Amino acid sequence: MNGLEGQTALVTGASRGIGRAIAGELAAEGAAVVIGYHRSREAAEELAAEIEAAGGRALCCQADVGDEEAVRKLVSFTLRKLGKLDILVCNAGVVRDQLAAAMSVADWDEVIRTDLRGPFLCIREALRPMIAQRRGCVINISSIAADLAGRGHCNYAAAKGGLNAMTRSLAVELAPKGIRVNAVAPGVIVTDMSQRIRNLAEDRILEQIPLGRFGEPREVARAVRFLASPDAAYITGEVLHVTGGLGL
Amino acid sequence: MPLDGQVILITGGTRGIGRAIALRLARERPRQIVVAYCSDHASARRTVADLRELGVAAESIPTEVSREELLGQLFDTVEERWGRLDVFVSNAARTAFVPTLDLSARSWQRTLDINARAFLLGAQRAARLMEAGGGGRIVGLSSLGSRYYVPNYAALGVAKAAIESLTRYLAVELAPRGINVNVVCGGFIDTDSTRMVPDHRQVLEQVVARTPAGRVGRPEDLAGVVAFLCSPDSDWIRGQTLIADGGFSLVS
Repeated sequence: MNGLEGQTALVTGASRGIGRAIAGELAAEGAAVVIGYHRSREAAEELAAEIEAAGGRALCCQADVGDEEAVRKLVSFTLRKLGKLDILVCNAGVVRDQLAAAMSVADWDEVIRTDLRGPFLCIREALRPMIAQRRGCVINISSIAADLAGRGHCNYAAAKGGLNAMTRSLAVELAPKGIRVNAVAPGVIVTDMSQRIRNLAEDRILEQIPLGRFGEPREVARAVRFLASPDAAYITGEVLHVTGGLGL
Repeated sequence: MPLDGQVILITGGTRGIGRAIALRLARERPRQIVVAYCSDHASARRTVADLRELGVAAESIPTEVSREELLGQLFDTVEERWGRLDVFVSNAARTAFVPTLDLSARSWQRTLDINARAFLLGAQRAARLMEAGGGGRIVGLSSLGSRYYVPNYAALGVAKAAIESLTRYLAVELAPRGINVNVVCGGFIDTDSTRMVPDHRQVLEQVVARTPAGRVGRPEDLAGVVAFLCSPDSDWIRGQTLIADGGFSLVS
């Protein structure tokens, strides 16, 4: 399938986990992809090589999404190399789980910086080219944690809840410019990031998932692909839950 | 193709949104599309002809989804003629648009029967057929009247809220049987039915003015979302209500 032929995409945090699956999925649909990564350079380059080997187009660019100047460079790299930016996927995120009483300000700040300020900076920077072409699609990777309370990640829940609210606000603000803004809220997906929580409470979590298993990164990536496709042309401001029923 | 070899049943499938869904799913090359309809034979003939022109086997079957025995016969026919059911889109809808205080008991009951009860009974029958075939997909249709005030819309709004709620229950109970249940919630979509809303033109203008995307919804806008919910791409999405409204509900 080549539903995104001729389009370009920037995916942050794309070297591993869900972001990696998203970059692969968009590339398989024909989009030229920039793989944004922070520290995992080797993993990013390996993914780019995989995509190129499959006949797709992919480039890597290092950036800390919480750093204004770095984000500026990331977006200008995309424009310089691919000529335009059609799809922005704000996926980069971190967790620093800790009970509130023991949570350091650094743990709080780091999560808010990467998971909330990061998407804001990326979107703000991507807007100029998107507004100029009067077309664009932004997809934020949120989390079921925004809606489903749990212990030990109030920083992450707050960031993702904020991201959902930002998604709705920007959807309204940017719709007249032809830009759609949506979010995907995954449940518990098999990634390095969720490893700790899966180890900690595997049985208890699985009990709450009607499908009785954890999700795969590609299952989130396919929802992103849908939101980027013409089939979703009238969807904006939505938070699409991809949770196997967790949260119902 | 994602729907290769599959048998699809769409109620209210010959006009408006249901017709757009049938035409959109035809692009995925299913084995058979069955469109059920109530009374408009001409539309049924036209939709079947259009589907066949796209190279897909299609049949129309008249029914009344509010009558349990007729709805049952529809599923009997599907089972006898095609031996399986993979996708059930419960789209048939009807109501009388009146102020809530003027809503008669009969009119209320009829709206609930055609919309909510038909979704329940249809899903029950569909689930039996799907389970025998190893799984399937059930998609309901809702509208923003399920969660916001819409003038003259009380009965249908309540029925749609019931559909969204039923979707969550069905999704959990049918997940172990390989059946995925979700619902698409549309904003104001320009169709034959919504032209029956009092002061239709005025309502339309107001809707466009308040919709961030700057236009009214089209049947195709919902059909694309239904196609996604009928594809393997949505396997991990369960019991959800997907709103496709151009952002309308965000500013209401």
